[in-house]
Amino acid sequence: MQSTQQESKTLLKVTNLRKYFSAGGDYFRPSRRKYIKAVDDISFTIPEGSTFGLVGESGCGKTTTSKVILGLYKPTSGTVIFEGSNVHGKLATTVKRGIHRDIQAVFQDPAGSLDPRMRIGSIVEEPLQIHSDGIEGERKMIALQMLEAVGLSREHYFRYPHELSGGQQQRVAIARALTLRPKLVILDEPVSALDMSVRAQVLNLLKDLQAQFNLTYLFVAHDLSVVRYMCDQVAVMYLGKIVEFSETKELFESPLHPYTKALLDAVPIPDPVNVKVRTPLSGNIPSSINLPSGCRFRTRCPYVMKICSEVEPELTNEGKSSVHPHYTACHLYPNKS
Amino acid sequence: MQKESSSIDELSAATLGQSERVVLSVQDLSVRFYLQSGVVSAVNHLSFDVEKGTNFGIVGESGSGKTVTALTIMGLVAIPPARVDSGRIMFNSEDLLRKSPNDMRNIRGKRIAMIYQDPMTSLNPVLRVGFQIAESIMVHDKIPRKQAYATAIKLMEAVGIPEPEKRAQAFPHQFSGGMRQRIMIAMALSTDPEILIADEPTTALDVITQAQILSLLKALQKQRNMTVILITHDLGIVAEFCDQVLVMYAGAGMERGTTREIFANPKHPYTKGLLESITRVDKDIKRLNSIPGEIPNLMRPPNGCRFHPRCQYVFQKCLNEEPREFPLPGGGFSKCWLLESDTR
Amino acid sequence: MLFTAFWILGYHMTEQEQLEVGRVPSKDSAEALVQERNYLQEAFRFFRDFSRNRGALFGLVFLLVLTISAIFANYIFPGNPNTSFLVPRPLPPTLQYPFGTDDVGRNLLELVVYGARTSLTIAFVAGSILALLGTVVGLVAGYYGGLIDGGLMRTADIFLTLPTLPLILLMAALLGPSLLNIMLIIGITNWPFMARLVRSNVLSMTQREFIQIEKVMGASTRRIVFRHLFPNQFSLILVYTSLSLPLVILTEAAIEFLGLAPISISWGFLLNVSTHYWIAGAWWMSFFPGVAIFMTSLAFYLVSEGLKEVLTPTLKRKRDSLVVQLAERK
Repeated sequence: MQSTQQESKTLLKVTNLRKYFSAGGDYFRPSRRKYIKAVDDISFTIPEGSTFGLVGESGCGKTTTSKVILGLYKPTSGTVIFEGSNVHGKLATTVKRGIHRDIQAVFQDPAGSLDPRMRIGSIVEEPLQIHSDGIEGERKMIALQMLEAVGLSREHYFRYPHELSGGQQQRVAIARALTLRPKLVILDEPVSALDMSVRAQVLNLLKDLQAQFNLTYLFVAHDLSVVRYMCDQVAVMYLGKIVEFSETKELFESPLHPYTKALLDAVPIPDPVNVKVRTPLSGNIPSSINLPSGCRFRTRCPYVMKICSEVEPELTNEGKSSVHPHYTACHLYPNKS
Repeated sequence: MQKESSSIDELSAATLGQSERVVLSVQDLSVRFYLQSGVVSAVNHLSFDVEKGTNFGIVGESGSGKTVTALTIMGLVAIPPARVDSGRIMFNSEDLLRKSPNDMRNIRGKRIAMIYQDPMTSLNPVLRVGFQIAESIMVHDKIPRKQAYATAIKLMEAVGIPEPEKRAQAFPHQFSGGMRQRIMIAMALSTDPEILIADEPTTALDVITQAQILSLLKALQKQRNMTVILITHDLGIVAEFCDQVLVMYAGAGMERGTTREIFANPKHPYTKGLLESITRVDKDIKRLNSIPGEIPNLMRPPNGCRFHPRCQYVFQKCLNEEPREFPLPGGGFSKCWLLESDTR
Repeated sequence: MLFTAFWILGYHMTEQEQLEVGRVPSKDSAEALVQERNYLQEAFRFFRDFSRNRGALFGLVFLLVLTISAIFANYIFPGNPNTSFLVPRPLPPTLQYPFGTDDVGRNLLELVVYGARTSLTIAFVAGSILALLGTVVGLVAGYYGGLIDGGLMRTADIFLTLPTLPLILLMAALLGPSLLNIMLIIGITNWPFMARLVRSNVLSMTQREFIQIEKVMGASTRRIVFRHLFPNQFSLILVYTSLSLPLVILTEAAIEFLGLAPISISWGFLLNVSTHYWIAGAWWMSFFPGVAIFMTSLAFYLVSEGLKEVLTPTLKRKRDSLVVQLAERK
């Protein structure tokens, strides 16, 4: 699947990624083993300098995907290529170290991502320590700089995580992630745990830092409105597969896949004048172990047809061109790319 | 400062519709937690009215006091360390705060019911759900077991659980989050309460499940002519679901009015700031306007207006005196000195 | 060395307290900000916070007094305790013999104090073995998981299911009665509890996001285990060890009482001897050693409670309601 825009360099390329977790069944009879197919054959590329959004409800595989990219899980099959190197392959130590420097992450729980025993200053410096960058004094200087860059003051250097508010803790996590000047930052629900009045602050901060440090973001979230604000491109996941992918504006204004439509439809809009009459989607998300045959979404799809239970739909480009693609996997759309 | 609140209540009752009866009236409520480390002023001179049959939304972030308010109405706040330092909660012309524990037990769950945020932990994991619903019926009415059970099954059907007879035998962990919340709603409705307080009922659910639950609540409300007090931090839910809104911040009620008024014409700087800082699914935003600063420490709240350190319109008076509640033309009020020159 | 102690314990002074102490990091001077912590001051503060708990303070004082008397027993009671006969039968407590005498006329007070040597040594050594073994196993099992975890935990289970006293008897019989063996035995029979605690704590920590981020940043396993996982366990380890010391002392007393290891003088031995004289009415012979055991166990318990209070303020925090948590944030 090609990315959009001009000749911007591809920073990350995920190809046919699968991650299955074993879920019991009969260990000794391979055909009878059961798996949780958390990620089931997805592919996408992230161009340098952009923000790529991965959206879906809980259980769709977006967090698992981000963990595989970060190297915390090994893929069951498929590849993750970062700047030409296979993240999970046999790499020279220097290349491996390079990847650790270049890909960083910020997670959802602000307090959980900080070691409660460490001072803020030490937390932010630690990446430098791990990679043996600079000497004591220099590291402290850099840490102070980073604290200021995320809007904290120097006096926070000596504090402990539990003395800070959620928003401040998240800023510390961001400062730490940027200390080594990474290229790619994976943001997994970075603002979901924060209060409303603080969310905008942190989102704006992320945008500013992206410009300042020339960062590329992979933004994983379930909140579609945040994704609309932050991302250039969006991929919608359902039960381990990407069901729709396009540029942000296009996806939100002309969603194609019935699931995307249902999702957008279900979000309550802070506008009391134009209240929609809704018919929310019925049913629940099927289990990832016993997936429906054919299209996974067919059990809840209002447009379901006979073919949906027989053949799993492929991603096809229904967009205007290959420069502005709009991929979707649904039998309603007959175009072949 | 709050002497005018009763006249404001009358005023707003008058303007919001004389024919509507006010079913719940919170007047000048203050709740403080007296702890070893200090005093937390969780709710501060809060006043609002809820009309019968409406959807009343309480919006606020963490620390706003919305949950403590709900728990105080239900009589569930732990009295030491908390203390209700002032105010009355009038429910059908009786003051709930003056009621004996026995009387409150009759009201709680029976006439005023509550559903909570986390459907995972609100149900007893070792009891079958049919039994739990039946139990909530039997606790309040002396009804034979079989009949209570039959009612439970009917309730499960009413809240949209398929195959209720079969599912009543199941345990909570065998249901999804949305289903568990439906069971909670069934339990809450089992005694046909006048008021249903829903404290962030959909926060832990996926957005599609959330839409299902909200539309269920709307339907049930219409059917039973119930009054719903919905507590949430999501302005979208408020816009679509609630008739009237109370915006709370740091323990005080900052603005109150009809939903349309509040969204179209917010008077309080906090409300304005919030509306400008939320992300939207339906439009492209170039840059969000964020409210600077952090939610204050409730043990050492700011002097004067609690919002003043973050307010873009702040002036001298805001630092010294806590504002009064200034009535607004459409009914409702805004607790902000900016309105002082306007009110006449 | 103080540095290590403090770093491990994770004890700290908050900024506020640093200001009070006068070590203000001035906002303009970067050098001031990078000053090292003054550990002596923190040591005083640690002690002060600890002393707030009267019980803990009492326990600490008691143990200190006991330890010092045990070490310097030679000076307090000059001469070999075995040679100070007076009358060859037990005498009740008098002014000259506050605890009375034992069956051969030795001063019981002297015996109890000498006995402290043995009992305390065993307590500390066995306690250390227990802590070391339990911690290492718990850390390894918790961090690596999988087969290693399974194997280690099954081994622990084996030790748990074996009945302690018969096991002790068996090992004493096989290995022969000596001080070292006793300490080993006690340590070995008790480590599974610690291992389980540590392991479950490690497991819950590994799932926490900060450990995952460490891995993302490229931290080595050694770093993660020693600088992140371990320090977060240390309070737990310390507290649990202090809690199990009473058990250790009692086990030792039981071994001695049963006559399995007639080592010179220890409290258990004294209790053993005293049984022969109950009929004679010599209550003091069992009473005072018994009180010694009880008081020492109590003292350990109080100290561990005090430590727990001082070292884990975050524990209290989690239990408070959201309102209180919000309020206590700065």
